[in-house]
Amino acid sequence: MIRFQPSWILESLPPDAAKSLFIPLAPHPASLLWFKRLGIRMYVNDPVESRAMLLRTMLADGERFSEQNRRRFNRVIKKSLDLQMNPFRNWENKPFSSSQLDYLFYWREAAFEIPEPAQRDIFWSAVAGVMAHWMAMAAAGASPVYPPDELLACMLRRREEQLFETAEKVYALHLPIDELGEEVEAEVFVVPLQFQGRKPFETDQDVMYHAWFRGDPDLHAALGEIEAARKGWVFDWKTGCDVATMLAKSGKAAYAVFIWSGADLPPRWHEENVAARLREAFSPRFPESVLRVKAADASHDDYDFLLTMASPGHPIPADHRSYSPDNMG
Amino acid sequence: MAVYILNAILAVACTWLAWRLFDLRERLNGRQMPDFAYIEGVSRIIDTAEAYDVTHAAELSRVAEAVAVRLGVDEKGLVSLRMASLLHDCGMLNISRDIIKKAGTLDTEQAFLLRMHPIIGELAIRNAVPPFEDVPSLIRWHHEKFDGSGYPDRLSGEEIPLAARILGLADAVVAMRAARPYRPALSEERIRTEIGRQSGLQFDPAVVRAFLEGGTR
Repeated sequence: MIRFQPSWILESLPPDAAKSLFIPLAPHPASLLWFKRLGIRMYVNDPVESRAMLLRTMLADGERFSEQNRRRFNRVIKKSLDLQMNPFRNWENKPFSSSQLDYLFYWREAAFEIPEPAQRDIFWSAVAGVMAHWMAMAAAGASPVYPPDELLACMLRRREEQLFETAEKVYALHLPIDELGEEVEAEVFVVPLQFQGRKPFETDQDVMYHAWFRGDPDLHAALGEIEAARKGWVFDWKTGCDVATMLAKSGKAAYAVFIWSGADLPPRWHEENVAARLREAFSPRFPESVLRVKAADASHDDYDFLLTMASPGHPIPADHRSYSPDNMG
Repeated sequence: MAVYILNAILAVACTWLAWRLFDLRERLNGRQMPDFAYIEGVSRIIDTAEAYDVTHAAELSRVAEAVAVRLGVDEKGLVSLRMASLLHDCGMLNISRDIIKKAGTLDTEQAFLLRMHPIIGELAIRNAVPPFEDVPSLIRWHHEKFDGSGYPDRLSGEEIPLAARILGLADAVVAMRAARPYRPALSEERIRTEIGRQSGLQFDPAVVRAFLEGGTR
């Protein structure tokens, strides 16, 4: 889990230092809308296909879901579906109900009747919102209030409310991390740092959605695909992360920024075990660095961390509330 | 056997004494309970700036605290929640009154400026309080929504700290209880229906349940 906070990142950089950003492993697309609103050019990538599709539909395309396609889903689909063939049946009560699974099957198959791939992506991105809602309600032991089709329409509408044009383009990429980086000449290199940790499948939206997107109910396969795509970019408690590759991907950036969130451990642990490793690896190119820390929920030791590193000749704005052994104890 | 019992009694006594010592030290340092009367005074200025004709922030604080108690939030969490409730909209003081009081729809630029108020509030408080206080973050996230459609960071689900999820619901409840120029105050029954309809969308289902389990006031 990362509480990605665009304005906090900008706060840690000099004004106008972030005209362009490169994020090789993007956070949730909606969290990047703040940068887009400010007209910052973004190169955002996700090596996982389902997540890259969400990035594209939310940030890059700007296309609306057509009336024609909206009407299409108010009719009986041409090829009737045999619900007994629903491959997601074994997800019943984990966490979806039988009727929700029928809808998920129907929405996946029916979307193939949309001829335009971009329109299909928009439809499927709305399904991601519905799945997330159902999973949250199931986790809380609550019953959904809205019928499935109404909920889907709400998610489609919500996406459209978030669409807007800006002068600078957003490049939403879907590439293996090894294949990108150096050629992207962004001023700021941003890494939202995730930590290794396994959630139960029925609460892991990334895995459930990716499995649905692939049309394969095997959640272990979906998880394996996600983990392989992100290998080296997720912080492991024992081995850390692939800092050498990260440094190589920073290209010609003037600043490198890492943002992460952590609970149940004191900030000093994060400073000594996470920030120190990153600082050491990045110091040849980014000798200056400042670690900022703030509490999200102090009673549960839940903190957010922002490590800003700068190449020579690029200042980092002072922050009198920055973490240091003197003011934190 | 008697030795074991004596040891057990000694262990309990030592633990109790240590707890009392730490508790006493916190009280002497004045960090146990801030003086909320001053903060309530400031919160009334914020209410006025926002054109509320009732003590919006103080009422919000009562609703939020009642829900938090039902959810088992500890004493430290309750103190943070009360502080954040009273100061949640302090960033509005830096927003133009033309925008706050505009009767019609805000244009894109105005809406963006209005959405800056949680960040402005967070910055102001963060620069004034000791590091590692979570009140500034709660102020920042009081407009986040459970389904990720809020602002400024579009956090979703448990990314939003529980206290901020409670704050968001309480803010909506108190806003609906107040009459606005364009609508009368909503009845308690209508408010409960509206809150229930947003379970899992705008609000955390667990927080909604805790709210609905409580009385109407």
